[in-house]
Amino acid sequence: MKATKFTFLCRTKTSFGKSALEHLPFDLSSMGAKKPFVFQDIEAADSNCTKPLIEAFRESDITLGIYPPLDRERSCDMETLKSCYQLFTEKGFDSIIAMGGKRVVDLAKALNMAVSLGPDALKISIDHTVDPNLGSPGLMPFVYVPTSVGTGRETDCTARFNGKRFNIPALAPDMALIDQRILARDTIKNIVNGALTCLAVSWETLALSKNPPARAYAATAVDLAMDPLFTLLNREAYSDTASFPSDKKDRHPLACLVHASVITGYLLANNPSLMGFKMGNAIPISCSAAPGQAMLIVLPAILELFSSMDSDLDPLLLSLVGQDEFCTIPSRQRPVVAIQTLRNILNKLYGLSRGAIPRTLADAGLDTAGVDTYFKALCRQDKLVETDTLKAVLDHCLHGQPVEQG
Amino acid sequence: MDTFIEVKPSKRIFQRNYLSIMLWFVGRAIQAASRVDKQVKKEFDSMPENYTFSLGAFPHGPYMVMGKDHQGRVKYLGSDIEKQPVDLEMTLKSMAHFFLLFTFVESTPTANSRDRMCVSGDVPPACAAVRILDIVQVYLLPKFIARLAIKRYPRWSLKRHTLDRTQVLIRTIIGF
Repeated sequence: MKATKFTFLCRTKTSFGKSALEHLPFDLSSMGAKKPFVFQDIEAADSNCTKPLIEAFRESDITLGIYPPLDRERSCDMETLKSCYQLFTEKGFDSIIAMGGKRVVDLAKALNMAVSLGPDALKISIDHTVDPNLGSPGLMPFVYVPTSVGTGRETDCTARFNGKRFNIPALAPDMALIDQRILARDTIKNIVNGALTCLAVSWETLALSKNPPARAYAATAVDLAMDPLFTLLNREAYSDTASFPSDKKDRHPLACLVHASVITGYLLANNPSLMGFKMGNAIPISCSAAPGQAMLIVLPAILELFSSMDSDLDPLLLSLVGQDEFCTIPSRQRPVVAIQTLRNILNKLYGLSRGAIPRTLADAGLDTAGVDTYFKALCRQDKLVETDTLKAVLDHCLHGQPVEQG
Repeated sequence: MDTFIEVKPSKRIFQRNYLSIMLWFVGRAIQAASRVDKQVKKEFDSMPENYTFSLGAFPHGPYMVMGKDHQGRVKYLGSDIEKQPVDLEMTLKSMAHFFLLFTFVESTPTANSRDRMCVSGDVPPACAAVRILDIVQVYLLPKFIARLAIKRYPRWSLKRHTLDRTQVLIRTIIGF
């Protein structure tokens, strides 16, 4: 697949590795920030993630303002935002650090819009794709410090707040910093589902995107996520009670998964029309699959129906099987083998999780009527894809039947 | 933590003192090595007259300032970066990174590859300054520690390892 026309924008600097956290004061200073406002969620607070952060700012010129941990109830409401806005403006803060997951990041992005563009900026939804004249307004420096595997939405250029959606390039964090010392304990279920979202988005990008930088990022994300995910599932039982990491040795694989999840955001920002991602997020309540699982279930059928048109599945197969095995497969067989390998991975995940990760929509508890409800929800959401194709994808995912078999 | 708190940055007293002593010692050793070692002298000869360079940590040091006067004599100019204009500033992004470097947990090339160092000035003198630092570390440190601090331990002559090293150490202590 030759790239003839593409745009790739990643305005986020990624910092990963040993002592990465100590780079933060320098990077903030280089962005002109002297007084960052720190958000953290309850999980980050429980794991004492502010301690290494405070330690990293010793001997710097920078004063940290640490907001009390945000729990599920008070995280994303207008009252919290008003109190943050008041503190931010009264005490002269000039940048934002968000430690935690999507809820904290959404609130941080909303606060950034309110303090940079004025509180009125939050009154209407903004979409730069709808209003190209809006340009990209300058926001205050914003650093995202993930504490666990996220949904990928944290590092893209969107925010959801108070029932409204905002989509402007400047909303993407200026910096994403992944440090092993600042990871919170999370359940195996959340970590695995986050990793599956990352893999599904990366594989879909590798297979269907015509954007070479996006494909390079996707290949990196797959490299980072594959081994830690299977090592984790081989070692730990898939459940929402067991927590990870249990010791210091586990921190590196978790940091790799978190890094992959950060890259997912860059991919989503540059590929807004990923069909598998949309279908995964539109999964109905009656279905037991998490969004990441649903994305993986629909991906083989999407590739079968779309890849025949104008895509090349070689990069996907290369990332799935590695260079040595890739070279042994004749070029004409590669699309079929790539899709079959994806199905094999789904089956393997089903086995490793003892049936908790579904292979098909039927495994996830959907029947024909459930698929119809799902189809209607998707039709309301997305008008870019023909309804016949959408229906065909769902019909084949119900029992995991390859398209070739009819 | 249920209320909003502001955290002012505290000091790393032990690290600051350790690094200040190390930089004082290394600075005097560079001065001594420039008078004993031909390779160090050659590196300084390639720098312009009245050239100064510093090595320190962002944002408030500690620093080490070295200078070459109009006669080509190299001098350790102390730890105050404000006293004179500095042509080349080599800065580690934080004191923690500087401490890793000077406790030999990380070598100079490793610190560089991990994006810990930034240079304000010309690149060729910066490379020369790093080479000088490497030579001086070989003079000052026993082999098993020096191997951690530099990329590759050099194969020097016996004279350089014994006589020159003794001269450098004596001159470092007496400051000549």
